[in-house]
Amino acid sequence: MPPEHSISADAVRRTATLARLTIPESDLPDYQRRLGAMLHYVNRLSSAQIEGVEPLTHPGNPTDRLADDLPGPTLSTETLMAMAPETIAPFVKVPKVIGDGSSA
Amino acid sequence: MTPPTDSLAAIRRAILQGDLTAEQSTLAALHTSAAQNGTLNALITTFTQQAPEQARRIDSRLRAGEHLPLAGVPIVIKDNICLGPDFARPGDALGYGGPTTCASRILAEYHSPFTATAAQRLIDAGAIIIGKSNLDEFAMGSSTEHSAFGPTRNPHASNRVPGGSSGGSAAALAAGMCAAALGSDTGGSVRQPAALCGVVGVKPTYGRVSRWGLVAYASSLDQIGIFAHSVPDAASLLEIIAGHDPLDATSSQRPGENWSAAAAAPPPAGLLVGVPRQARTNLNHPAVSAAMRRCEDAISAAGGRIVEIDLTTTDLAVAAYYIVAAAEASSNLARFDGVRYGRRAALNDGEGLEELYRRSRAEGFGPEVKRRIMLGTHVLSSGYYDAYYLKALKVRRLIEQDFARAFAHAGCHALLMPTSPAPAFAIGEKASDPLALYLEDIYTVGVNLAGLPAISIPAGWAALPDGVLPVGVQVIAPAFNESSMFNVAGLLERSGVSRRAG
Repeated sequence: MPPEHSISADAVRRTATLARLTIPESDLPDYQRRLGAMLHYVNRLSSAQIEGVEPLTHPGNPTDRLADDLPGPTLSTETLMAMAPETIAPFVKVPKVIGDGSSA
Repeated sequence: MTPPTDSLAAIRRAILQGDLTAEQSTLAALHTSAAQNGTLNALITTFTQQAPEQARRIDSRLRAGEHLPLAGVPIVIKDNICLGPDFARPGDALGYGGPTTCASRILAEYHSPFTATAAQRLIDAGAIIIGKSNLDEFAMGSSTEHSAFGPTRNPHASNRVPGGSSGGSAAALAAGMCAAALGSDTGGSVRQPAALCGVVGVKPTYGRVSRWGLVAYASSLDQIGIFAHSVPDAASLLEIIAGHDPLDATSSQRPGENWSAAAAAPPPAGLLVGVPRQARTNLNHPAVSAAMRRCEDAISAAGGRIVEIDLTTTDLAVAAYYIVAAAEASSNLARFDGVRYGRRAALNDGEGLEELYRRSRAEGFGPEVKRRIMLGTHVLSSGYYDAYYLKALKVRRLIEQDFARAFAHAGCHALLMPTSPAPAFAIGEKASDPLALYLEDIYTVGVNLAGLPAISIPAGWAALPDGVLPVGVQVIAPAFNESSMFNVAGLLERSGVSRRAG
């Protein structure tokens, strides 16, 4: 992978924050190289004639579908709560939220 | 006792005639799995106790005169497809769903409370799920090397990859652990491992099979697919799992068709099959080029005509795919946050919710998943969206139009293309260069971007120093025209292209 396509360490840090991932400083050079190489590779899309072309987000012609508003079986609260790593019944437990706006 | 390496049709016949019980068929599959899995690492979970129990229930239902089209057929399910605790029959708790791990540490202990529709339809038809198969973590990869449970090995040469991401399903089938398997195909993840393991792999039209219970990777591309020993086997399985599901808003309302009949039918008069100029390149392995020639000859010999077409977007498809797939992955995998389910990181005093998210995800995801989440987050982030994501979606439209031109204007019934440019590579060979690995997918990703159905069939063999490895060729058809796809694939299979030369 040619190092000349590397992106900056700051760009990796910024993206890691957006992606909610902790990336150790020692791993940054690897991400800089690999992400840089991918971004360089996908630059070939610039060769396509895309002026006036409508973006395609989904294959086919998806239409919004409305389901009938009928009651049906659902999973119980107990079943779903049993999957949570930490609970204080009847709630899911998370660390303190207030005052933790530091890194968002 | 009929071994599970037999075709689904043979097992079905034997059970119907009373020559084989569901229990015997299941025990044979489990026996092979026990003998092979230590080497191949194809299965993450094996239902050694529960599958025979379920088979005995099926046997008693058969004795009671019930008709079950897949009675006693041993099947393996990719471990990103959920099985709930009562999946054997609603309300009939066998308690053997097992974990649904997606080959990720973050879901290593996750037990789904519900069962995927596609799996449930197999179970309702009498199939016996004998295990859950290994995969690249969250289906991100083309080699099944990126699994928290270690790599799966190719049954034809154990130092080589089985392809991926559904490599466990392909290897399990090729090794005779089951008679069919389910996988998922987001960018070739059923077709490429099928080609590399020498079995049939089907990626149905986007929307053909319900994705309820399939853990999402890239939602505009994901489709559940089938591994089988033959084209008719694959066709008959699709008949069972296809069809509308109110639980999946993207599942199509279109009724299924008699695909088994299409697979066995003679080709239409004036059969026209397109071969993209861009796929006739000397970058292909000689065995792949030879397989293509053999298939083209078989079509001509059957009275069909081969026409060269242009898929000008071929060398842009991988770039467009990796942007779209990574962007959707970064969004889909945001749900794994250590709060409601899955692995949660231990925190130090004073660390808050933000640290919980970041550390749980950093500890839970493997390196390839993190790279794709990072790429996806980057291309969606402010200032880059237009340059990358929007551009990729526009190229995606061009790719769709390229295929549409081949079908509508050139009048092709189907297209013929290699599945993968080369036979299976060695484990570790492409580990340091993900880009080289991504280029494995050059012939498969376009089909997903356009939402088309495609089938890979074994079409030749490459004699390599450490073994004779299979290569595959894929047949691509217009959306919702699986009939055409099965028809041409059936013709090729009957002509003997898959047969191993002596």
